[in-house]
Amino acid sequence: MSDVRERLARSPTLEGQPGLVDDAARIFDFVQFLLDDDDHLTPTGNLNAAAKSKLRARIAELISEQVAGRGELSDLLDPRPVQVEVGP
Amino acid sequence: MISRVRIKGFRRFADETLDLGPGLNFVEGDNNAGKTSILYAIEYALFGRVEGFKNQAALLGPDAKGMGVELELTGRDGQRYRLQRAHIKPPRSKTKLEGYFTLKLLGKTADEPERYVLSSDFQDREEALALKLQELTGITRRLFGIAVHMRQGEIARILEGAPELDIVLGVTAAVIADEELRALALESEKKAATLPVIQESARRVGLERDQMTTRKDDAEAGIADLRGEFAGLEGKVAELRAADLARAPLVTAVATLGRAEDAARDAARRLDDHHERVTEVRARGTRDDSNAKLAHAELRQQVIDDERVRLRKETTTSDDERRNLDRTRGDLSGRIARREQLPQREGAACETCGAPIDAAHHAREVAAWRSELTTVDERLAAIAAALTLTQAATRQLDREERELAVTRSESTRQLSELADLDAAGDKVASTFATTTAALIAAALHGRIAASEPGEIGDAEDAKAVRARLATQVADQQRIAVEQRARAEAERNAIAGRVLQAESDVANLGARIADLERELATANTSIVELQTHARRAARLRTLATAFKDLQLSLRADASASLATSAHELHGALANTAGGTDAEFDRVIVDPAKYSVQVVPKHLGEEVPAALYEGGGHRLLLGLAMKLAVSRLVGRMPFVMLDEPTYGLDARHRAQLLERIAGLDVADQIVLITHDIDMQSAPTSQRVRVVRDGNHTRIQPSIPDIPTSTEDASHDAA
Repeated sequence: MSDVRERLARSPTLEGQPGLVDDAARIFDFVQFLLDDDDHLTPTGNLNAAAKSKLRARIAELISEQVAGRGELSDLLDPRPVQVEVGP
Repeated sequence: MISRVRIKGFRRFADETLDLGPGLNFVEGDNNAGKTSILYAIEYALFGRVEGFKNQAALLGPDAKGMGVELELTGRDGQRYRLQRAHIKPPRSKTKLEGYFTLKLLGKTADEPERYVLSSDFQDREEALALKLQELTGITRRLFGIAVHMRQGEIARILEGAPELDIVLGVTAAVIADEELRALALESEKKAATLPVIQESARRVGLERDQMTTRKDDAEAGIADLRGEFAGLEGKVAELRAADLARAPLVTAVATLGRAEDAARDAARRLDDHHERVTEVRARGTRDDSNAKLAHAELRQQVIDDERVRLRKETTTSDDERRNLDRTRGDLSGRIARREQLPQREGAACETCGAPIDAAHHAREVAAWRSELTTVDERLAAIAAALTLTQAATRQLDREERELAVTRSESTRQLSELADLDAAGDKVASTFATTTAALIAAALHGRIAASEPGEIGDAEDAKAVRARLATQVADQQRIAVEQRARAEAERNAIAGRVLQAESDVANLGARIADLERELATANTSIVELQTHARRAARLRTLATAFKDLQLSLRADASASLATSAHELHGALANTAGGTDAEFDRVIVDPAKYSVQVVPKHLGEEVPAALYEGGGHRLLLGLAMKLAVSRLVGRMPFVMLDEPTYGLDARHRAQLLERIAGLDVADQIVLITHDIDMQSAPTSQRVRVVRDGNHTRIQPSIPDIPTSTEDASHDAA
């Protein structure tokens, strides 16, 4: 839908995080691209294994870019323990 | 928006170019002229295939060895691109086609060169092109099939429902993205689960590293202190050595004095030995005694020599006489023997001469001869006795001469020894004097070295000085040796402590290095796990966003579609006031997207697919498709293939004008076999004509609308 990006930007979890909104929009476009080709789908309409693999690779690529692009390497190298929430 | 289409070898197009403009573009032509092929060409260029055709070979023109379509389009980024796609038969292939594509960014001016974006020649993949085109146009293949390329006779079919709208509208994408992001988040969370443990481990290692570093620093400070002490003791040892060096002249002088004393003592001893030797030699005889003995021996030797001469003469004379006597005796004995061999009888004659023999005479002669023989024998006996005496005297002379030789030898040796002793005595005395003088000089030098005043009288004074200085030097050296030994022992002890401390520092350094490595490994793991944790957090955030999106789309899609379709239907039907005069409501099923309508005259809900005639369904289907297009986003272009199919001329013209008046896309390519309208503002009007086996594109001349055809409108 035309306002997918706007809807993503309005999501409370992404509010104020344009980088994540960009990532989400790119992921959405990529899934749409995968869904656009029947070769990527199982007979029941789900993504097949190869397409899922591509999607995961694309997500990993985008997330890696996001992590690396934030310039937090010095923080990451700080030997002091960093409190990070793990798990849902 | 597409500005130019060039079609070559595609279906019946040999090589035709079509320019398109913004807004409405009419493509007219007779049935089976090849109008729809233009839309197929655009679909082929964008997606590499055409819905409803098994493969690309089915699109190949008759006798063509390849086909290609070139689009010039403006992307959503406002830049102009040229998309070229081709399928060509390789040499010696009858059925196989090889596909190629190129996407170039055109310059903003004619002078600016075009730039390659993607190309199969550069091993770019089809998927990359699809993604790029999706980004540039916002059109997916499914969206193209539903809401961009509206095919002849299929427009109303959407009313029956279109499950793929879930995909087109993004609901399916949101669901899939949500699921995959959650799965990836879970994987990353599992990987990051050990992060607190690793962090605690790293904290402990870091603490131990800090403790070890402190201990190492302390130990290094201790080493510095010890080295200071060591340097102090080195200085003390150096001072003691300097004192040794300062004492060295005195020590040397004392040593020299000692050696001089030894030499003097040795010279004195030799002098004493010489005197003893002289006494001993002189006790054996003086030089005068020896000279007297030698003179006596000379005289006696002379006597002996004379006696020897005399004895030799006597012996010679006796020997001569004895030889004469021996000859005489032999002669006498021979004569006697010969006489005695002659016959003694009377009258005997000589057998040789025959003369008669005188026996008596012979007897007298024999007696005489015998008497003479006796005298000779007596004389020989006397000579023998005399020779015996001479030999005895000679032997006596030999003995005496030997004794004289001994005496002479002893006297000569005595004299020689006395001479040697005299010579040696001078030397020994000289040496004694020299050594004594050296002793005194050395003692004086020692005193000077000891900074003592005074003179040295004699050797005894010198010896006393030497004894005193030697004692003094020995005492000083003993004390210095003890002090140096103590200092060196302390210094060595400190050196040992420094070595031990350095070993401790090295061990601590090694341990710190181990801990640093351990810490580095842990930090690397922490960085990795933190990356996983951050990634998990981001993935969770994104998943939640897609969950929200999914719910939002599901909630809004059908309602928005229904509202938009209702509004568009009103516009297409051109009902008064812009509201739909035909339907109270349009309802879209959120599950299957099938359409229900509530006609005003019925007041109840009926399936749109079963409602009224084809013209009504066409308008409603077109409204629904345009609603999808509007909902997905403003399309750069839509392609309507005979949307007025089944309408009479009047309604056809009205509908075309209303479509032209809709602001649903930047560009509309509308295909019809008759352009019935005059007033619609159009960018392009072209006519597609059939020329034998080929299709050509020509400029279109608008038809004069026929007034008789606006009589009825079956949809009304």
